[in-house]
Amino acid sequence: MLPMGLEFTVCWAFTEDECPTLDYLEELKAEDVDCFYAVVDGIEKIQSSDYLREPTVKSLPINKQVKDLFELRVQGGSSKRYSRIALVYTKAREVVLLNGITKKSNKATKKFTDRAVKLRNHIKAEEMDYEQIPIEEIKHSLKQ
Amino acid sequence: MNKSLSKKSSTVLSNRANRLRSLLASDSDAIGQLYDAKICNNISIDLYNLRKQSGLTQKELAEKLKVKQSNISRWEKPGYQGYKVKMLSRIARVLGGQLFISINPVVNFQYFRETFEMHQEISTTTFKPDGTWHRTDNRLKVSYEGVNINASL
Repeated sequence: MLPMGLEFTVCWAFTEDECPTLDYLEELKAEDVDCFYAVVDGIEKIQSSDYLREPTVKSLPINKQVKDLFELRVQGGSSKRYSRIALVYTKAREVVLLNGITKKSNKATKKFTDRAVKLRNHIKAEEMDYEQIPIEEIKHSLKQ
Repeated sequence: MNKSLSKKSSTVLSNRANRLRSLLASDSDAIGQLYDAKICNNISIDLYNLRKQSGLTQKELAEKLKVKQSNISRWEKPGYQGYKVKMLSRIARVLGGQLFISINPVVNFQYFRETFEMHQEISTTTFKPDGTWHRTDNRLKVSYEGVNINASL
């Protein structure tokens, strides 16, 4: 378990054409606004290792080869569904958000986990970009 | 493709950051909604942590509260919004904790400081490092985010 009080940089994986987590958040906002805000708050929270643990973040068991995949899991506001965002850590104390899905049951779908593994492999092989999106700064700009 | 981590700039947001900003900006009360979400998320995390500290399983807590284990599971999931104050108070009691709920006007000292500096009223108002303030006419009257705050000093 990570020690408390460590700061992490939350980054978002992207390619030239897409940013899977951002694409997902756009869909989520249209479906369930309350859940969208709960997820954004969750993303803000995981900048601290205090929240990089249950109940906010859980391990996403795939198989014996892939043990470093995790998920941010948030319960939907009105829809009673779960929003899940796959994530992976890097050695530079970064949390990289990979992709997201909304699911009714507790079990993640194969499509979601397969995609997460694929993106995770790209990140590990340094074949995919990721960048920090400064939520605090965005919030500050909205207040003005 | 090479890995590139674009560190945040204080002035220019990337295309993706702007996309997220647009998503939030489409709601007039995005900051308020984020605040609401934060409160609910914090409750679920507090419940989870308090139960863990007390060494109870979800099933054991459910038995003490005479509810189903699935309810405990739901209440401990970030994002849950259907809490009832009475139940929260009961859970806190059973876990050896205490529930505090307080509704107050928003007081943002940094905001006050910036606003007063902007209007050059700082000459009559002294802000102390601990966040308290003092004004020579013994009365502070400000409006912050639609809430009127009158304070006698």
